[in-house]
Amino acid sequence: MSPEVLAFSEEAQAELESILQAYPTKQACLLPVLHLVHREFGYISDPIAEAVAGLLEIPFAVAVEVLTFYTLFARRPQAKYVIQVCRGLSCALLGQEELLAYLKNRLKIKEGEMTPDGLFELKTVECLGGCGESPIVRINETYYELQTIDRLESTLKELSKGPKKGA
Amino acid sequence: MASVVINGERYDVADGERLIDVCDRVGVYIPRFCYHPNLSVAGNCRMCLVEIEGMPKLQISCNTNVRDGMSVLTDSQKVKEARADVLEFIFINHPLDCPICDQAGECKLQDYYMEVGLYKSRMPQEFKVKKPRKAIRWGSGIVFDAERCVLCTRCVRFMEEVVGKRAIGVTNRGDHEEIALLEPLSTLYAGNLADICPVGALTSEDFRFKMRVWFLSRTDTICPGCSRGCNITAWHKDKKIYRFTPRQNDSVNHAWMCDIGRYSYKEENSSSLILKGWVREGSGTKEMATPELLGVLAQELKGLKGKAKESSVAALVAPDRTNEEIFTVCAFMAEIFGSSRVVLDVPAPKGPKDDLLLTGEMASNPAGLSLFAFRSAKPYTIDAFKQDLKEGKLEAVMLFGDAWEGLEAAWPGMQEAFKALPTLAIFASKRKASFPQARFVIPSASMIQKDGTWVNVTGHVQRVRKAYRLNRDILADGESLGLLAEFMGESFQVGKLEDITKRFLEAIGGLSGASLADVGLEGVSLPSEEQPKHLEA
Amino acid sequence: MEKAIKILTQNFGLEDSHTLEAYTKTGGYQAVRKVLGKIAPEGVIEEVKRSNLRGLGGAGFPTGMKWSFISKPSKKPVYLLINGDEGEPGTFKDRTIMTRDPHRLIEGVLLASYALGAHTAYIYVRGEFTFCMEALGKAIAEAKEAGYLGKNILKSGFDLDVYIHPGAGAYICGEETALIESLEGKPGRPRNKPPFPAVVGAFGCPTIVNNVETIAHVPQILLNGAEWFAKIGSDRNGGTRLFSVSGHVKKPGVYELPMGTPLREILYEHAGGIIGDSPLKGVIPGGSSAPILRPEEVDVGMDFDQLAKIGSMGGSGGIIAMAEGTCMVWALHNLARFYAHESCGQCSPCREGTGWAEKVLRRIEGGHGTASDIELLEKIAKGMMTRTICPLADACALPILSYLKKYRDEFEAHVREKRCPVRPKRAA
Ligand SMILES: Cc1cc2nc3c(=O)[nH]c(=O)nc-3n(C[C@H](O)[C@H](O)[C@H](O)COP(=O)(O)O)c2cc1C
Ligand code: SF4
Ligand code: SF4
Ligand code: FES
Ligand code: FES
Repeated sequence: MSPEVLAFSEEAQAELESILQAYPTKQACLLPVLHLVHREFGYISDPIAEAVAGLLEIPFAVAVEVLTFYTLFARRPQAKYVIQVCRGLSCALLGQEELLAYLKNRLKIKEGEMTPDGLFELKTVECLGGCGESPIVRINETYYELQTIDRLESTLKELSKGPKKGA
Repeated sequence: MASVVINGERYDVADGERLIDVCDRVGVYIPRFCYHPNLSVAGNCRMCLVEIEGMPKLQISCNTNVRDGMSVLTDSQKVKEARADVLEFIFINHPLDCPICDQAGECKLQDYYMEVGLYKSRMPQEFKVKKPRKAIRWGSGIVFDAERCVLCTRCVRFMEEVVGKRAIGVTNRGDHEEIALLEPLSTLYAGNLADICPVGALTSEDFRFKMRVWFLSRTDTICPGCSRGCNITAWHKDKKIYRFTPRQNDSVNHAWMCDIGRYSYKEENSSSLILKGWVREGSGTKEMATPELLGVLAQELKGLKGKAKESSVAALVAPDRTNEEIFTVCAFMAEIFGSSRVVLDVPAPKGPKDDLLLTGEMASNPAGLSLFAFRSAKPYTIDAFKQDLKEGKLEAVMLFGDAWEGLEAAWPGMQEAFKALPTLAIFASKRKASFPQARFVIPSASMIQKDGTWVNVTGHVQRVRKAYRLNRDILADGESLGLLAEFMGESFQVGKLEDITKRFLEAIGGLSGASLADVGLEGVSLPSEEQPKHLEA
Repeated sequence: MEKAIKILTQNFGLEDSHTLEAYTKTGGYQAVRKVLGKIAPEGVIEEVKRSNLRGLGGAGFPTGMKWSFISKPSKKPVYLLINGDEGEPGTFKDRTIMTRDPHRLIEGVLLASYALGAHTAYIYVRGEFTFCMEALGKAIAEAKEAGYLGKNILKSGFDLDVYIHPGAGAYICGEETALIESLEGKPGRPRNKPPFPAVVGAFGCPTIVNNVETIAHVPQILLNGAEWFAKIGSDRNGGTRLFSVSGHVKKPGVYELPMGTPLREILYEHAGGIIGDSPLKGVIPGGSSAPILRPEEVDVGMDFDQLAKIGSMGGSGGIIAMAEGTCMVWALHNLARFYAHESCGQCSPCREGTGWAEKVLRRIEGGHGTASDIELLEKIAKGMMTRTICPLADACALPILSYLKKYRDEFEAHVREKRCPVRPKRAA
C-alpha cells in the first residue's frame, strides 16, 4: 500500500517534517512517526504500518518487528478510555490488586477486554514510574495518582458522561 | 600473527581472527546455534561460551577476536556447566518428540542434549508457552514449525544479509518472541533456510519426512545447475538421489546454493535419465544393449576416415560435459577420423542471473568448453559447422551431452537442419536431451555416475564425483568411444582419468602440472589472466 | 547531620521552576557562560572526574572516566544520549527533573556535549512520560530562543541541537545499547560488546549514554568546583542523589540526599517511617534489580560502594519498603513477572529463564509448589546469571537469590503448608 493511506492533518504534517530533520537516518524516525500516526489514527494496523514503512523507506518487516516489540502501540481500534492499572511492586504493596478486582467487577470485563459500548478497556501494565503516589492508574495518557476505589469510581462516572466513541 | 593457547595447546593464528573459527579450524568443536560463518554475529544463543584467562565471566567465542597471548578453555567444568544450563533453557520450550521430528539426525539441539545427557525436561508440559503446533507452509518449498524454533535468527539474517530481502522478522519479545514470515519469501534461495536452521523449525517441503538422514550416503560433488558450480553434497540411497545440499566453499558459493540447482537432483534420477539406448529403424525405434548399439554405429562410421579439415565426420560437445570428456572426444575425433571438426562453442542455455550465485548460464561447464576451444588458433565454429551441413559435406555427426537448449535457441531450425544427415548419434544422459532426429541414442553417464572436473564461471576447477552407476548400459563417454573404436577395428586408448585431467589442464594453460589430487575437495583457481574469456562479453 | 544540601531540587519549591526565567534567576546557565570557549573540553572532563560524580542510572560508573573513552579528535560525529527511560520499578526521580527543572538538564547536556565534542544530543524519554516530553519540548524551544542551543552558542562557536526521542513501552530500552537500537528505529535489543558505544554507538558513531540525573548535576559541579561536589558525598561517591522512596512508608516521594546517607535515616526520618508503625520486613535499596535487605541491614550508607559491600547495589536509587505482613514469595513473583515481561527475548537463558522463574514462583505462591521447586528456582537463577548479552538476566536472578537466601523459611512454609501463610486472604 502506498503512503497515501496516511492522510495527515496539517499539524501532523508539520510534526512529521520536524521529525524527519531530527535524525541522520530515516529509520530512526520510526518511533516518533509511529507515535504520531498512532495519535492520528488511534491504532496501527498492517496497512498503516506498510504505509509508514513506505514513507520511511524501510522494510515492512522492520515496522512490524518494532510495533510488536513495544507495548504502547495498539494494533486494532481501542476503547475511548484505556484504563491501565499499574501492577508494579510499589503499587501492588498499596492495594493495586483490589483496584483491579473492583474494575473487573464494575466494568464486567476481564483484563485485555473492552466494554461492549466501546467506552472502556482494561489492562494491567508494569511500573509506570509513579510509585511515589501509588497506586497509579493511567487512563489514556493521564496518570491518576493515589487511587482508591472511591476515587476510581468518581473518575469512571465523570468519563462515562462524555460522548461515546464514534458519537 | 598471534599466538593463542586453547585447552593447553599453542596455536599461531592471524591476529583478530574469530575465536570460534580458530577452534573449528584446529578441530576443537564449540557448540553453537546462532553463529554461522557466513552471516553476521548475533551472539544470542549463548551456547558457545568459553573461559578466557583473566576474564571473570565466560565469553561467547563467536564474538571474541583472538589476541596474542590469549589463553582459552573450552572444556573446563565452568564451561560445561554453562553449556548444560543454556541448553536446558533452550530445551524447556521445545517439544520432546525427536522421534517424529524431521530434523532428527541433523539437529544441533538433539546432538547437544544427547551429549549432556539431558533427556528429561524439567518444565512440565502445561507450562510451555503456547505456540502454534502445526507446521506452516511458507512458500518457496519451506515449511515452518514455530514450536521447534530456538530463535537463533539465522534465517532472519540469511534473508537480510544474503538474499537482501527482509522477509522474515522477529515479532514480540521475551518468551513470546516468534519468528514470522512478514513478506513472501519469493526468492530462488529459500532452500538454504532449511540448511541453516540448526533445528527442525525450517524444513524443506521436498525432503520433509521422505527419508531419515542417517540412512543416506553422501557424495561431495558439484551442482550441475549453472556455471557457478556450487559445491554440494548429493545424498543418496539405492541409486537414488534424495537431495542436494550446499557445501561450504568460500571461493565459490560460501554455504549457499540456489533452488534451481537444489531441486535439479530430480533430473539426475532414473526417471529422467536414458537407461537404455536405441537405434531408429524405419518408423520405429529398437532398444539395444549399449555394446550392441555401438557395434551397429561402428558399421556406419567405418570408412569415413578422412583428412582433418575435409573429414565428413563432425562432433559437437555440449557445455555440460566434463573437461575429461571434452578432451577425450577431441582426441577420439583426431585419432579415429583424423577430424578436427569438433564444435566447442555451443552456447549454454540461458536462465536467471543475479548478484548472488546464478550466472545465467544453465550448464555446468561452459567455461571448460570455451577454455579448451581457445587453445586452438582456428577453432571449428558452430557457423562453420552449419555451413558444412548445408553444403552436405558431412555424413556423420556425433553429439555429446545434454545441454542443447542454448544452441537450439540460437539456431532456429536446428532439428530440421540435421534431418538430411545420414548418421546422427547422440551420447546423452537425459531423456530431454534426445534429438528426435538422432538415429542413435547412446546412454551416457550422468553427473552422479562419473568422475571428472568442471571449470566454473570464475575459472575455478572443481571435481564431480561418481556415487554409483545405474546399470551396465550406461557408460562414460570415454568407455563408449573405446568400444566404438574397437568395433571399427581401430584402437583408442582412453587412459586414466588423472592423466586426462592433467593433459586438459596443461592444454588450457595456467595450471600446468596440476593434478586431480590438487583439485581436491575445494577446487583450484586458474590464474586471473587465464580465466574464461567468454565471460568478458 | 549536615544541613540539607539541595542541588538538583533547589528550585522545585518555586512556582514556575520549569521556566527559563526561574532557572536563570537562580544561577542557571552561569556554568555555560563560565565554561564554553573558556575552559578546554579536557578540562571539563577532568573536573567531572575529580568530582566523583557517578552514573545515577544504575551502574554507578564514574562519569568523567566514561567521557574520557571518546577518543579525540573523532572523524565521525559524536552523539550524547540522555537516558530518561526511567523504567526500573520503584524509580520515579528523573521525571521530576524533566518536568520541574528541565533547563538544569539542558544546561548539563550542553556542558557534556561541549566536553565530548558532540553537536547532537537526544533525550530518550520513556514513552508513557508524555508530560515530560511536553515540558522538555517547551524548555528546549525556550533555550533555543535564548541562544543556549543552536548555532554558535553564546558566540563561543559551539553548536548543539537537542532532540527528544520518545520510547514506546519497553523497560529494556533503558539499557544503553538497547536505547541506541531503539533510537535507530529498531526493537530495543541490547548489542553484544565489544564494540562499546564510545567506539561504535548510535548510527555507527562514538556515543555516550548518561542518565538524566547524572547530567543534571554537571552545571553545579562546574560552577562550584569538583571539590565542593566531592565533599558533599561519601568516599568516591560525589554529591547528592535523588532517592525515590515508595512502598510501605508514611511519606513516599523523591528525596535529594548526600551519597552515603544511611538507609535508616531515609526510611525513618525523611520518609516518615513505616505505615502504621509496623515493623519493617525487608527493603529494596536500589530499584527492583537490587538484592533485598533485611531490617538489620538498614544502617548501610546509601552509596554504590557501601551497598555493593553488603551484597546489594545502589542501582537507580529506588527504595521500596515492605512492612511485616508482606509475603516475600508474592513480592518476588511480582518482580519475576516484570522481568519476564520485559526481557527483550534474544538471549536464550534470559528469554527462557525469566519466564520459567516466574512460573515456578507462581506455582509456589499459589500453594502448588514442591520442595524441589525451591532448588529449581535457585538453579534457574544461577543458570542465567552472567551468561547473557545485557544484565537484565542478572537483574532478575540476583533478587531471586537474595530472597531465597534471606527469606527461605517463607518459601519453605508455602511449600509445606500448600498455601500462602502470610496473606491468607488474597484479593481475587
Ligand atoms: C535492563 C536495564 C535497564 C536500565 N534502565 C535504565 C533506565 O531506565 N535509566 C537509566 O538511566 N539507566 C538505565 N540503565 C543503565 C544504563 O544501561 C546505563 O548504564 C546508564 O544509562 C548510563 O548512564 P549513567 O552512567 O549516567 O548512569 C539500565 C540498565 C539495564 C541493564
Ligand atoms: S527458524 Fe530456525 S533458523 Fe530461524 S530463528 Fe528459528 S531456529 Fe533459527
Ligand atoms: S539478557 Fe535478556 S534483556 Fe538482556 S539482551 Fe539478553 S535477552 Fe535481552
Ligand atoms: S509500581 Fe506502580 S508506578 Fe511504580
Ligand atoms: S554461537 Fe555464540 S552466542 Fe550463539
